Amino acid sequence: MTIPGKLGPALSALDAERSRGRASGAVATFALLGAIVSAPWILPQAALNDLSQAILLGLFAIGFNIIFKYSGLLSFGHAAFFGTAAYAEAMLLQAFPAVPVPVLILLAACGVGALGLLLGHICVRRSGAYFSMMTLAIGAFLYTIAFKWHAVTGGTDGLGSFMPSTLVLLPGWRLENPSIAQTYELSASFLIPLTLAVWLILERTPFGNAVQLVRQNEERAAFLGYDTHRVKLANYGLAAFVAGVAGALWAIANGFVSTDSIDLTLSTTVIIMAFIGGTGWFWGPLLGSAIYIFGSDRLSALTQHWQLWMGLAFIVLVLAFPRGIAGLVALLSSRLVERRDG
Amino acid sequence: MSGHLPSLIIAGGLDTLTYWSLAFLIASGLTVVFGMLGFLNVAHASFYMLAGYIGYSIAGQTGSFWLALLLAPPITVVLGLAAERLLFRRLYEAGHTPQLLLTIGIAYVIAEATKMIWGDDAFTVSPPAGLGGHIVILGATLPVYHLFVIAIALVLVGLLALLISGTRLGMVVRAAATHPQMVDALGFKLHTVHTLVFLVGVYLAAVAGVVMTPMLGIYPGMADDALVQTFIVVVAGGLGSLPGAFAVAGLLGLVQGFGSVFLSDYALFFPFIVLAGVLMFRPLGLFGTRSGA
Repeated sequence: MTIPGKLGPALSALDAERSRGRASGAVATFALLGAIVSAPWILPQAALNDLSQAILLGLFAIGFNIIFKYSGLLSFGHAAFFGTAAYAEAMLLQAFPAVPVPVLILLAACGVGALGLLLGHICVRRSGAYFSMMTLAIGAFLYTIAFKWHAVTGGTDGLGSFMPSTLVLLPGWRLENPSIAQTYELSASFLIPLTLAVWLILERTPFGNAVQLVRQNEERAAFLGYDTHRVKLANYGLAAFVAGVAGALWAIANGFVSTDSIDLTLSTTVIIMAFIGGTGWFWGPLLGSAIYIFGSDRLSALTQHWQLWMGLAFIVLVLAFPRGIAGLVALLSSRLVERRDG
Repeated sequence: MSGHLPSLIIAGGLDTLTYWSLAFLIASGLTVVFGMLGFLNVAHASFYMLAGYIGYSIAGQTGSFWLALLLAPPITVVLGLAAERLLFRRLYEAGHTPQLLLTIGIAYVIAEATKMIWGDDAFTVSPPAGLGGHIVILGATLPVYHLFVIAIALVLVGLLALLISGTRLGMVVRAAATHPQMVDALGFKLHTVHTLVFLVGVYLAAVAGVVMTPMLGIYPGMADDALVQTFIVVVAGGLGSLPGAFAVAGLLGLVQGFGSVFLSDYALFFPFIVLAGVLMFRPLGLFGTRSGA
């Protein structure tokens, strides 16, 4: 793809935005991903279970944030894609236990990505409150299907016992009754390459440039010849695909899928996670989900009504630190640098 | 499915009017607040739930549904006023994303607070004496309470229309929605106008919450269910359009009222069918004029 001449100024604005805090961002990214890789050797078994939930919901939150950070659209029903992929993965595992798991995960996630492209036609044309309300309706619609279609989804009882006792990773590489640590590693080995690839796509490719230009100035992008609707639609499909990978891994890690994986509560929880971590940083939602999971674990040991305190903390966060923990850390570190330089 | 055609039509017609009333009662408050303040309040349905629970407690303590209907909405409005003073008013100018986030947090807190106070159980509330029975018209058995719900909705819709388009206060409120600086310059206190509109929205939700309880009962997930319904009515009607919400609530009532007679298994899907059907012909909603951005 050739870059039209008039794209120059717009691209240099993008570059300026990127180079600010590039080094510290890279350090933070490697620290976060390094922590995920090394966790099985450091953390006790019980905490590893929490972390397994945290990284999968974190991947889901990154999916949510792809459409929020890069297209400025707040999806209020993103659990539709997470949940659909989880159900699809459960059914695929039951139907084809001999097919390598990565193939099944990709199948489920691609199906959900296609679903995102289809449903995106309805909602991506709108922005702001309208987009949020439409995605909520779409999420509620898919939830209702999962809730009512008892023969396939098990309704509120959910689907269990779909996990084969032998998990085929690759032809000739099997896991017998995978342990928590093993499914955690499986999740991490998907999460890290996938998020790095998505980050590269959105930050370093012509497609990513187009997505960011459309968010910054949709009219300008349209005048430059971009089909802004298709750019946003493609990004919505990507956001659905990432949520789909997370959902498929969720089915494997838990061995159980129910309407909890597709309901409105999960759609709002993922928004809360993303904003706790900070939506301005690509990996912020992953950080946010870890804080949410471990925070709720600690809180629920203290009080039965931990969600009350979680909600209050979130309200304070939204009012006082709208850029989340990552934004707060970035602000503090830039102050430190200024003081040292000045 | 027993009975013949006239009775089916009467029963379906009454169900239509009942669902119409219920759907509009909940959605009207959200629409008013969105239309006049541009504020998208996810916690709207939470005030509806809160009023339902408060009404349940009042009715349980005093034995009087009427007292609950009289007292629970004002109590909810006072709580709404506190929330408005503390939280909502900070974000009137802030755009939809912060509003959405803040009200998600508030909805979260209200949901957990109601669980803390009233527990996880669902409760049923019986209609007040005199409204619990049935009447038979042309072979159709009709619950008297449904007629009462329709009457309440009619009264509130009438009052609301009168307030907005027939009074000086309504004029100021409408002017404040489109020309805030001018209204401010003329000496009206914008903050007071905003607070008032917000509280009218909470009051409508609260009345809906109390009126609804004898029909649907109260349960921890009722706010989520109502939120989805409300959003569908508001989006299909056109964001912020009260006539639009009224018309779509009617359409929803029609589909629910007659559809449930024949296809009761699919009743949960009716709102989505209405939404998809409306948006197919009117992408901005029935009376929509703007994208809502």
